[in-house]
Amino acid sequence: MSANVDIKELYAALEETAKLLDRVEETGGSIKAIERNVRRMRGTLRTMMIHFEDLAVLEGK
Amino acid sequence: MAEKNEYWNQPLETLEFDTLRELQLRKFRRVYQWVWDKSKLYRGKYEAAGLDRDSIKSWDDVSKVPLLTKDDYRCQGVDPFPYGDSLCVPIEEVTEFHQTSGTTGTPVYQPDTWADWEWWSECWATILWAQGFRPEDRIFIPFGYNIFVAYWAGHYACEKIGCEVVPGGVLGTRERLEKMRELKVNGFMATPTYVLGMAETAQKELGADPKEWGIEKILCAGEPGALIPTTKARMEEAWGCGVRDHVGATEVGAWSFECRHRPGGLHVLESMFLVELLALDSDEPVTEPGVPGRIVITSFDRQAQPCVRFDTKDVSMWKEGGCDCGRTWRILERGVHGRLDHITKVKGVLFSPVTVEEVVRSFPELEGEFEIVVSKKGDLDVIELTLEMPDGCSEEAKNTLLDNLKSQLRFKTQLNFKIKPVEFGSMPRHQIKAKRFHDMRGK
Repeated sequence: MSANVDIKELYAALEETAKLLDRVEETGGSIKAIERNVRRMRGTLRTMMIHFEDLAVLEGK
Repeated sequence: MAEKNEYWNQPLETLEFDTLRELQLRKFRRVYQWVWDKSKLYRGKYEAAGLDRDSIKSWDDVSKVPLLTKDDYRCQGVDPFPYGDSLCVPIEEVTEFHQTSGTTGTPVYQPDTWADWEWWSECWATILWAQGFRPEDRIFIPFGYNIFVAYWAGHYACEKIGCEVVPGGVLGTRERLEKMRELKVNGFMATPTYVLGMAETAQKELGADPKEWGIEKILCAGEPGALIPTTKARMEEAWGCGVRDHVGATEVGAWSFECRHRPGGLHVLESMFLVELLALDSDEPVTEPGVPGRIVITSFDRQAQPCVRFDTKDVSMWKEGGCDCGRTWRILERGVHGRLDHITKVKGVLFSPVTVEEVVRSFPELEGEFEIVVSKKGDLDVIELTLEMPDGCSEEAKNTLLDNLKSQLRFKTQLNFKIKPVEFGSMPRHQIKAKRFHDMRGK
């Protein structure tokens, strides 16, 4: 039943994804279709990050 | 027993309780600092209470944070229009508008950013998954999609889970039922009143038995009925499937749910909300199981207009013990028992309108609507129940039914009701929130 997930590693992957989105925006943010879709993707990404941000810290204690 | 696929988010739903509390304290501190930094409404309240930005270090500090009430939203209606000082993000980041139904006063305007809207559907996805909604389901939403948040987030959460969603929008009840039958949907979501009303329409107008339609799951929201045993039993009998409850609020989010294991109440979605119970007549915390308290909620992760220690004025109590589902999230026994401003003394006796629903729904013949009005006649309180009688009921049968009903009401509430029977179908049908209790004393 255990999910067997390394939460710290999962959160690190989510942070990397956030950085990738920053890069996409830096590169193509002058294109509305990029800027607006990145914004939506950040909303979805945030939903995952808020689940695990604190848990990753607590697991590292 | 819990199954392999029991959880939407296993690490959080089965988190050891002490770790969960530590996580909640961290999240509370973060949202407290967010509203301190971003909202004049909150900062003003907190400064007036002698708090500063770094005041939250322990659970004792949490209990010193002033409660938020609906009255605080009177700051709305000015710039940044229409949210005023309650808004915590630049107005251009708001992508969703909804408002409360105004059942208990002036409607509250609720802004959400796209991230908030994803958060809403995440809350609902957790709930739907716990109730057994799965990607292979075809779900009908018989909801007049409008300004109320109600099933909007349920719709998006179904998509997130992977269900096929059929929006029942502006269709009438009969057309919705026909579409549900035609498409062989296997689940839907509605208020308890509407769940019963749809079954009534299916039987009387379509001459159909909805039990034969293959509906496997019904999610209820908006009214307490799905955790009132007699109302739940009536819905399950009418549709031939399990009915589960869920409670949320526009200002708060979708914060609690009954899982498919029927825990005898509502699990709190503890990784996304802090739920506290405070005494009915003071702000003292209630932690002991079985003691009624009013529900105070903090939404941890909402950005545009989060609520921090929002006094819902709903009443419940903690339940002792856990649930077969294996979640470590606490349970509110029997869900929401009623609103503090509806739990009132009538003729000196403490009265909750939910008890009347429990009694009325225990009579299988009484399938219609009802309404309770408390008024004053001279110095005396008068409590009157208006209710629809069954069609084709003889005078003798009607008198026996009313005598039995009166006696059950007397037994359950210690009050003598004046009962006013009316013709079946003569009272309004509700699709969103039935308002069945009116206290006219002092009005």
